[in-house]
Amino acid sequence: MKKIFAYLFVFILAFLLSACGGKESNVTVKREDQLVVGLECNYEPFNWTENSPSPYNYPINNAPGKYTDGYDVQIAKAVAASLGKTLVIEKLEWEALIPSLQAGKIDAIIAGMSPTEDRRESVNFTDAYYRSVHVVLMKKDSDFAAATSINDFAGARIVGQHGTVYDDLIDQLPGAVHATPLKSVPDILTAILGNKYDGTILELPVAIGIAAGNPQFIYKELDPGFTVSEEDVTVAVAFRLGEDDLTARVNAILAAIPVDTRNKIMEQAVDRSNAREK
Amino acid sequence: MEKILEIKNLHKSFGGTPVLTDINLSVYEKEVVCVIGSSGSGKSTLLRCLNLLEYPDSGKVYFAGREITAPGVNVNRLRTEIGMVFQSFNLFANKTVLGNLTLAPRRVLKMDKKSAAEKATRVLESVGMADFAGRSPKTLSGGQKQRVAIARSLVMEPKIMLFDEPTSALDPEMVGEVLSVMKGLAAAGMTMIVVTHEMGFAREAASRVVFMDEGKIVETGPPAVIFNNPRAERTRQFLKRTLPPA
Amino acid sequence: MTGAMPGKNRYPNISAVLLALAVIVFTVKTVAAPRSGISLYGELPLWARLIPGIFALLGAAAWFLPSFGKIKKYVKPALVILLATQIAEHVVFPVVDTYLSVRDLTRIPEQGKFLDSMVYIASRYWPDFLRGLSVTLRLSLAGTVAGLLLAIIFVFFRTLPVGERDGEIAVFLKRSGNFLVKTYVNVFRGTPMMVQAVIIYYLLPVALAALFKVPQAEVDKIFTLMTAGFVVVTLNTAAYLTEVLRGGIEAVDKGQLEAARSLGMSYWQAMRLVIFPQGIKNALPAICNEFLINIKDTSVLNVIGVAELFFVAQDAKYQYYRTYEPFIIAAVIYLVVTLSTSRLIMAIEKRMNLEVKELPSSN
Repeated sequence: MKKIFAYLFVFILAFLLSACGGKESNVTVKREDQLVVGLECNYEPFNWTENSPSPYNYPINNAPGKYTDGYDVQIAKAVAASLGKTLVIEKLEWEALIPSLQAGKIDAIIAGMSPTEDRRESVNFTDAYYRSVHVVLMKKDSDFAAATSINDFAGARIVGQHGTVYDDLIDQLPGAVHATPLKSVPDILTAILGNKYDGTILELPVAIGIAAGNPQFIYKELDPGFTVSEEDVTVAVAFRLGEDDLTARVNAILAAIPVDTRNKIMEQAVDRSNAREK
Repeated sequence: MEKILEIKNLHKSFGGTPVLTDINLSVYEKEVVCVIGSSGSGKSTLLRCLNLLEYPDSGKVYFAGREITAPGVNVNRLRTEIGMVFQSFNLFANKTVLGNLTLAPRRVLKMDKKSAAEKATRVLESVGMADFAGRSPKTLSGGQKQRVAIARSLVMEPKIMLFDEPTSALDPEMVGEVLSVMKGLAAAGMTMIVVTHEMGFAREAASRVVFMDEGKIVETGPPAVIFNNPRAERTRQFLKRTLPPA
Repeated sequence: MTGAMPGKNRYPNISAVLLALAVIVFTVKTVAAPRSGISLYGELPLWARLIPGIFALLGAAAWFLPSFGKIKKYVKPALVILLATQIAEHVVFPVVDTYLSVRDLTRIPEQGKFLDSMVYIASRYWPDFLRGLSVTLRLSLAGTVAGLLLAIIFVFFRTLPVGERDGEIAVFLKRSGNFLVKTYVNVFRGTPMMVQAVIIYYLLPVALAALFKVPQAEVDKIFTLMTAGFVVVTLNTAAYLTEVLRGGIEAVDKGQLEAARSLGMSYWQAMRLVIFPQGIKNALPAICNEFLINIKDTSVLNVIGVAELFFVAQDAKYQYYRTYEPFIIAAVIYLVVTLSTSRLIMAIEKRMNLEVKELPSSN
């Protein structure tokens, strides 16, 4: 008999411990008044994680004690303010973003996501909130370090990130060997350093951040460069399919931020990202 | 003397093979009935039909005047009046000796902890195992285990005790201690049905011996008759094979 | 480790006294001069830093005051744990700090410098790793215990005997119960836990909201990540443990049941009081093994975003752009945890086998 109570006690204890380990929702505002935005918080300079508050960053709701900063965060703050809602940030894995949006766990994706055709089948996209240039990232001592145009990569083994535009663009380098895509940018960097591949394609702001932190890498803007469609070089906010009103409202908000301002915000984000102590 | 048990036309088969055929037997109070016969003669099955561990296919069994083979009988209540001792002791491994004895009185007879413990201690004393009350069954020898098993059944104050080859699994030097407990029980007036190979015990303590062969009762009678002057040829053959030459 | 034994009360155990002294000395150090650099205790308020010292004093008192007799068993292990944290604070962390300054690691070292990178990441990210470990352990423990309780209920249906005299309805109900549980077990053992996690986290709330006609947001409030993780581990564990328990119960000698029933106990009394306890005891090694397995398997919950140890390591990977180092750190942590838990389980099992013999009984 006593044994049963002992077990029950252990169980209840364990469960209580499990349950009160960091409140999942610190937000007291009603759900309808929240704008829950999903991002990775791991994709500098669009979004990254910090340990202490600053005037620029914002608390991550499902990671108590952590804050997120970056270009996407600044846009998210502006959008939420204009919509008159309280911003709530949820940190999610890249693959989990769209399913979470569809399941209603988040209301918007502002995560440096490009509005591609196949994604449009699952979500609504707003107009672009940033436009970027694509560059090739390589080791400083790579055989292809002197390249200046897309035609200089014959025979190069180029790898991209799975499920992204970066991977698609590889085919525009004539003669390049299109390697099987890897799951994430760090995996790509490690592989390049290990001489498995010669280079990868990234957006300029991201490449700047990587090169700043890793002197072994350099990046090259190409001329002639990639032939890209709008969807390749822009990033947009994603809402659930059918939320046309909301999409239109946010389009108006984004339209009010001119290109110069956008570039300035990005520059500042890149600077903060490079300057911070990791 | 009161008739305590009556078996009428009992048949039992296992999967088409008949194990008991037309068994008829009456047992009276305070009788000690020893059932002998070769393996496979149905002795154990017959015993197990008496406390309904096996169900007869046909026939009736009456216990203390009630028909226990009738539908709707409260089997659990019945079994509190019929004690059973097994060849392999079957002591509860997760309880101490005392725990083994007090479990049923507390849970089935709803005795309170203290009275159950007191009663159990007294019964343990009567089988000579009072010092072992706190021990775990796995620390006991075979003879000790069986004595505890007997005590465990006795504590329920059954009207009749069934013994299914109680000493067959014991080393020879431990058989004696168990048989002496059983003899003591018999002398105290307990009604007992004992399936056994111990002819010595049957000769000494039995009031009646039943010889079974191939699922039928071949012969019954007082031990003196059965052992010295059996009527049936099969009885004679069985005794010749099992008893040492006199 | 000697426990409290009658007659030895008078002589304080030397090692316990030394332990207590060490803890007190370190506590004084922590309070008087909190360390800069990586620090466990530095962040805590003064009263929290005093706790180990106070506990050590109480523990030392336990050896001399008879009324504390019962807790003596637990004093030494607790002192060891406290001492370990203080050794981490005053020995391990200073070593790491020195390493960092000797190697001049103010930023993450270059790619390829594995040892430096690992030390750097460990020194910066250790609170996060600990938090991830805490989530892992909490989910494993709670999930295993809950799964066990569920399994005890399920195995009930799996071990129902269909008696000769049961009516048709009873037979039908028993067979259905058995079939349902068997199906459940097959489904959860036959699909990867990762897949179960995704389905339960994304699909189940939607299904529940539709079923109970409740707005999605309300369901989501209850069905948080931790809850989903807990549910996945529980359901998965229950499936495995049901079969384990069934094996344990069927391994119990049939004679036990016969003896119990012959004394007048009902089937369920016999099962509850005699068979199940033995069955569970038989299955105990397998149950503890399941807990160890769960510690490792909770890592698959990272795909839905549960912040357990693997997820934290992945975070570090993204933050520092290092593929190997965070995972090597995580692997070491997993290894230390599983080895020590395994040792702990063995010690507990030994204790349990002895106790049956020594207890003066009442039951």
